[in-house]
Amino acid sequence: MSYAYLFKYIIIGDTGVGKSCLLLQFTDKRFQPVHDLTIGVEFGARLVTIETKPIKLQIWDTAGQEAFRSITRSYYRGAAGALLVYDITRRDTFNHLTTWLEDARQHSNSNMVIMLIGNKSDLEAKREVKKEEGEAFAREHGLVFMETSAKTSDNVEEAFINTAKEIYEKIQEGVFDINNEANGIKIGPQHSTGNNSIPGGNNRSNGNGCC
Amino acid sequence: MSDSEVEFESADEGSQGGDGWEIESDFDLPDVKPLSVESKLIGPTLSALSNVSDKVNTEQNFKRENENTKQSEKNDASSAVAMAQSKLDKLVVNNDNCTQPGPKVSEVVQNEIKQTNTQGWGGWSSGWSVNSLLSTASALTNQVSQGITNVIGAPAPEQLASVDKDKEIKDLKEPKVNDELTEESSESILDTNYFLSNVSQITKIVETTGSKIISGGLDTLETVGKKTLEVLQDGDPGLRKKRAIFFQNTEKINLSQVLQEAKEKAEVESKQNNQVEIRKGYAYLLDSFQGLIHLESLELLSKQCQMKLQTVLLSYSGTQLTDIQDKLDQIKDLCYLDYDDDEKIMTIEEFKNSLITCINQISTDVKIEKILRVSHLIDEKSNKEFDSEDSIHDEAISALAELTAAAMELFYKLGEMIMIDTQNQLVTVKAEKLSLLNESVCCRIRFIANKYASLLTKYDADGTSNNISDVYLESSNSSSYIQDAAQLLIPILQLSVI
Repeated sequence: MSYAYLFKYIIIGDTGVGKSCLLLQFTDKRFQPVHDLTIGVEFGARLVTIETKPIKLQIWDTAGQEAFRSITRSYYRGAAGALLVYDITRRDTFNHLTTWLEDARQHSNSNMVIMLIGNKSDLEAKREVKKEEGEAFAREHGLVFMETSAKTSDNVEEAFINTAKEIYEKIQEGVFDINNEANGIKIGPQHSTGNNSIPGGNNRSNGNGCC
Repeated sequence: MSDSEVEFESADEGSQGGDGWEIESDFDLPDVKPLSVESKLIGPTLSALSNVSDKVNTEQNFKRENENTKQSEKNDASSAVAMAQSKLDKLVVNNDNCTQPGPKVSEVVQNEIKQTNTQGWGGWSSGWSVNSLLSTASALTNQVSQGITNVIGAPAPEQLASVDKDKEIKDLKEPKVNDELTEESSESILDTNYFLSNVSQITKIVETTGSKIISGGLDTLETVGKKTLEVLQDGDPGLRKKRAIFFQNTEKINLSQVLQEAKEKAEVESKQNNQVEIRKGYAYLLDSFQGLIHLESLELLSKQCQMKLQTVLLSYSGTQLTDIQDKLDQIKDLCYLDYDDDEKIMTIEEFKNSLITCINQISTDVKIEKILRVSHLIDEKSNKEFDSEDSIHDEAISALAELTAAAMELFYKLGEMIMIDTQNQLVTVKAEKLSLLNESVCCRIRFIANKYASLLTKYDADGTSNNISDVYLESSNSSSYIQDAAQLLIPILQLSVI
């Protein structure tokens, strides 16, 4: 239960691409072929280790349905990482990526790490989107890319953990101000006193602009 | 002053509702004995500032703040000495040019300081770091005072401070009086321990100067605020009333935040004691059952709806507005839970039936399987054999936290569904059912508490341990969290009728 950092993730993408299944596979290591439609947002959490540091991932799995769109946008705020998911067997889900990305960029902090995920890689026979297309999209928009299968658990761990690594690196580089919770990062309870000297942590000097 | 109070009461009458009516805190007048008109003015500013400081608290790590304050106080002291020196220099000029009768002004400031002492700077001393306040105050003093003096006619804070400084110099000649004064203000504003250990003359001077700059700054701020409000009201005479109606609960502290802090505090405390203790904490359990995060999301939804509601309402006027207002009040009243029967309990069967009825009327897309499963498991667990009194206690707390968390999730999901539901002709029915749902969960909580309490009684016939009262305490906590969460659904329902 003790952790050095807590990272907030969001999972976004069209309805039915397997967002909830990815979360279930990552947190519970199981696959549930029939899943209730997500209402609003579901939560999951898991402890991972990045460079010997225990890190708690708090994952907000959002509803993909259009009806919830305006609500789910408000959950983007304060996320350190995002998994943008499409279904490799449904081209329309790939085509909608630009909208999702614009939405995410607009409603979240600019440093948020976004991982592009082509899910359902086990359904090779039904594939409609080539891996190269996903890679190209990711390159073009500066995302990290991975194909996963929530069913076989292929690459699922990696997707979540690589995102965490990237965030962790950004913290080390001082890109994230870890004391600003709007960045989706919290310092663990037992680390809260000793870490004041970490880059970006010194916000005492500009206390004048409070009003 | 008295005018505005009267106005407020009339605005108040129109919209006083079931749950705690709150006056906008920037108008909030604490009970201040009328020492003088000027000293009374400081009240609103103080509360506004402590309000700001509350917000700062939520954003910044509490502990770090305190530590930093201590570390930086020394640096601060030296810079403040310089400031004090410059004040002293100015003082000479001021003494010669002072147009206002000296004694009167210093009396005012004196009163303010007394006021300050009696009121206690509650909000400040907790989290607001003194040095940032000082620098804010002095920055304000420098930038704003000039303009204020000319435009509004408020005495410049520098002037106030320096006039008072004049008095202080006299006081210095009578050390006894001065000591008293400084002692008091140091207690009210700053960390007492620190100052008790550093009783040097310089610190005292610096500090009094500091507090005087603050009071001067407050005066300016206050005048600016009043002027702004006057200007606003000139253009829109009904503003006060509108604000009172529309922005009722905006300053309410987030429940989830309070819980989160309680949890963290408990974590830290139990860390110091031993590892096993952590498992017991109610707030910790509530969080680990994902109660807090669902509550947080519900708060987010509720706030969003509240804001939309305000925007929509502002576009109406006259009878249209009163009609809508009536509708909204009706929904609010329906959601209000009657506390008449606080002995009522529900069996698991009754609970299930009640839930099904509610869900069918509100939104069938929301699944109640989870809360039923949780409730069932709790029931099963409470029937097993326990090997110790402590294990009963722990199980009871865990059961209460888990059911509360499940209720939070249910309320949140219902909120989401109500929000996207387009067929809204049955809002009043929904409101009624939500109230029933609320009651049902509370009944169930009561049932669990009673059951565990009776189990505990067998172990503790003479009632020497705190376990039973602990269980009842957490059960009443659970009930109030659930009721608060249900209240958060009101704006969501209200928005759906407009």
